[in-house]
Amino acid sequence: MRKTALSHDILMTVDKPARYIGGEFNSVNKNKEDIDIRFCMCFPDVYEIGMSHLGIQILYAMFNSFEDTWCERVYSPWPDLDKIMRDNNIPLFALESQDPIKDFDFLGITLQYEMCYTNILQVLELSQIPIWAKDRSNDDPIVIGGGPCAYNPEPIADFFDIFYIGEGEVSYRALLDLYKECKKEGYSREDFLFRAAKIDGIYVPSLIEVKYNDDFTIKEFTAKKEGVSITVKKEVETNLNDSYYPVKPIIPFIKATQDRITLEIMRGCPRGCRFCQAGQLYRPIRTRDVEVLKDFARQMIENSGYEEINLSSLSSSDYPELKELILYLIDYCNEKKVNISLPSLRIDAFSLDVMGKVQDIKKSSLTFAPEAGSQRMRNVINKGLTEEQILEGSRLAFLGGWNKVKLYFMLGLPFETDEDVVAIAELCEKVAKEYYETLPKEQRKQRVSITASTSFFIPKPFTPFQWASQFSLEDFRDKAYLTRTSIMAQLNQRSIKYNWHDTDVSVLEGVFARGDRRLSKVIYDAYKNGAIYDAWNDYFKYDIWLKAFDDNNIDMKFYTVRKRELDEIFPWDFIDIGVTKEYLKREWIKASEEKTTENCMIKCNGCGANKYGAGKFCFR
Amino acid sequence: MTVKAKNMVIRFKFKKFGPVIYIGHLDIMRFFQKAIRRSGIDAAYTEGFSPHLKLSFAQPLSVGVETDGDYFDLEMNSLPDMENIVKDMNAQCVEGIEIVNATLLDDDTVNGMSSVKAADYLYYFDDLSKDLKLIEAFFSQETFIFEYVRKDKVKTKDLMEDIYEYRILNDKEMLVKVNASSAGNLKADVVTEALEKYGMKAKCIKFKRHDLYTADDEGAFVSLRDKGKVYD
Repeated sequence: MRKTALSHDILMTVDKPARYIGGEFNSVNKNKEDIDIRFCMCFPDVYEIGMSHLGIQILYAMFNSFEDTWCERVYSPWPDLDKIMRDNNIPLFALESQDPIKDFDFLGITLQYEMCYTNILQVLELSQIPIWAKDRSNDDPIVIGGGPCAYNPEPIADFFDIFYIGEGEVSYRALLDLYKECKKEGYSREDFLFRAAKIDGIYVPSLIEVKYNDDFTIKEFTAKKEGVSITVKKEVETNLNDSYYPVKPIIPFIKATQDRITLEIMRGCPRGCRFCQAGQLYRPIRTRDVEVLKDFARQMIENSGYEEINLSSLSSSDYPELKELILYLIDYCNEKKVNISLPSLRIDAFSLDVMGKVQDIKKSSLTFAPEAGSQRMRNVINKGLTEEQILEGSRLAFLGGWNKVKLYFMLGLPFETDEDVVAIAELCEKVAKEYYETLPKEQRKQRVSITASTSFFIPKPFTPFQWASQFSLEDFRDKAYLTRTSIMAQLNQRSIKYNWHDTDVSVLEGVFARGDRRLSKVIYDAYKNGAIYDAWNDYFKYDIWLKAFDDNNIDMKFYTVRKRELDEIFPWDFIDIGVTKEYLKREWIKASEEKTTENCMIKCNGCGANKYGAGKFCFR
Repeated sequence: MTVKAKNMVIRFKFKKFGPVIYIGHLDIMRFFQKAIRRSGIDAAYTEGFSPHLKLSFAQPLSVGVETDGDYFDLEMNSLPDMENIVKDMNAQCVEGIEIVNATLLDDDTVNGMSSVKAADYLYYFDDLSKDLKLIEAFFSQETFIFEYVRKDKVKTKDLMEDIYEYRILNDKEMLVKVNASSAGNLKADVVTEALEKYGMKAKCIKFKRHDLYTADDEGAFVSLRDKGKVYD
């Protein structure tokens, strides 16, 4: 019988105790005696969020397919349990074995968003693992970070022994083999890290030194030991057809945020939107064959019992065999009583027909992500969606019976003017007008409902906009206010609802996104002063952060609004993602000239990612 | 409450023990929905855009409590291989959740758990031997008005109305049958709380639900399991 690390009394006290008991269907238990390596995979947020993440499920399937490895999971304890664990000195434990994480060989932490950084420190501290990598001994687990935020790991570099840069399917086996070899030879942490740094995709921050100029921009990266490379190359899974996939997904007892099957149809995106980090990081574009996807879908439906399946990719409309896949899924899912949750598709006759089949038209809405209001601005960001396409898509949808439209925009994009902001309101108005012009009065069953949402643009590393100045908090507020008043000035303003994101957290996210190693101390101080669960509005405490920056004499504006020169060395420049800095620079200049770049399935734009020789759309 | 014309409802009896006792009632329902779907049996579904299983559960059990006898009814489209149904369903369960048996309900059985009338709870004590007289006196009372607090609310009940019978099994175990109808469900821990107030020295270590009962035409309690042909 499995045990629980927490006592009956504690489990009866905390909210949702099922977060902490493990034992879910398809979770993996192994005999400790039969394995060499214990790996704990962590998503530093609450269970329901972490369990919704596909990446961990992929790596969990991969690690547990290795006979010598047992991979378990841990998530951030909710603040109620956090307090109990601190008060009672209970070490954080893995869900499967309920054993303390400090006894594991590896703790792998996925870095999905910047605002989880304090939760990483929480996980380390509750695990009773030294927070600073330099304080760890041979007995402590090796702490590894991976995922999108690992592409600028510098703000949290001092907390990690290793960052894995790229897709986890590729290099972990080599890393585990090296670990076993080092164990056999009489293990020393230092020796293992030094040898690990030679594996592709492995970055050991303690082995690279960063030297700064007087103005705190970066002067150079130097190796601390001979034989350590000062560039780290991103790892890419070249063949998605026989890569690991969680066809037996873990089924949480409590409802996860994504309570459905996720079917990843491709990686990468051919569109080249200039604000989008994922679009650059996951190049080259690679697809899974449609027959493989059909097989995965069948297996996952049978092995999970889920009632819904969701297609995942950055741009599903660009998947070449989308029509075949969706038509197949509609048939199969209908038979198995599974709902299909459609990704946001380019609106045309086919997608509307499909949507009509799988959703209740009265309840569902149509989604567009123009990201910017004016055509000028959409050219700047290279978002290849025109006003005509939006209006034509809306018209078709209105004729098909839809009356709800959602529009997503960003505020604070580079080169944005007041006119561009006002254009958001005008575009919403045009969509509303399209409704009244398309449908004669007797066919209008309800009023058209348009929801416009704006988020604040945050420049991210490895995008053409990495050189952009982020707008200030005051600018953000002015822009949201202008959007709101412009919408209220429209004729059909009563049909348009406007939502916008919080501003404070966007500023901080901007700091960490393009931050450097000097921020580790700020994050540590903020955490020690009570910052945790920063991604949760109810827990985010901006004043703690302001104080932490103040105490460390660091100006947030250095990372956000400062103008960056074209030849500046960025904290993340030692990472090679395939896409070259030269290409990004060209794109940044084209943006300033309002010139667009073509979809790379149509024309190769020479970004550099074809050097991986992967995917049928990239030509050498 | 629907009465199915044809013999198409299967009643599953299940146990819950170990760490899974901390999973709430709604999540246990979700667990079985998925388990049923995985098992591939031909269950009946509702119509519409999101079809659902026709599944109904008996009296919810509090989080943290074990059970040897909880039930759910599942309406079928066609009958599965009844000889193997318990084994097939258990292949889809996890440690601590176990199907004990399956009953193919008689045609006239009321489908739906509104028929639940009583529950047996099994209490484990450190030592009952010194309290036997006191316990007998407690349960022999005509009335026992008891005031207790649950979820910050003060409740007052005549416990003797809702306690039907008790049995001391040995020095450590006692079985009590209480009202479990939707109108008058008596929570198991209220009984031990009342006994302690009454002066019982023995400490209750834990308790678990033992079985659920409906009533026949004469008002006699019948285990929910015994409303049709039982397959183990």
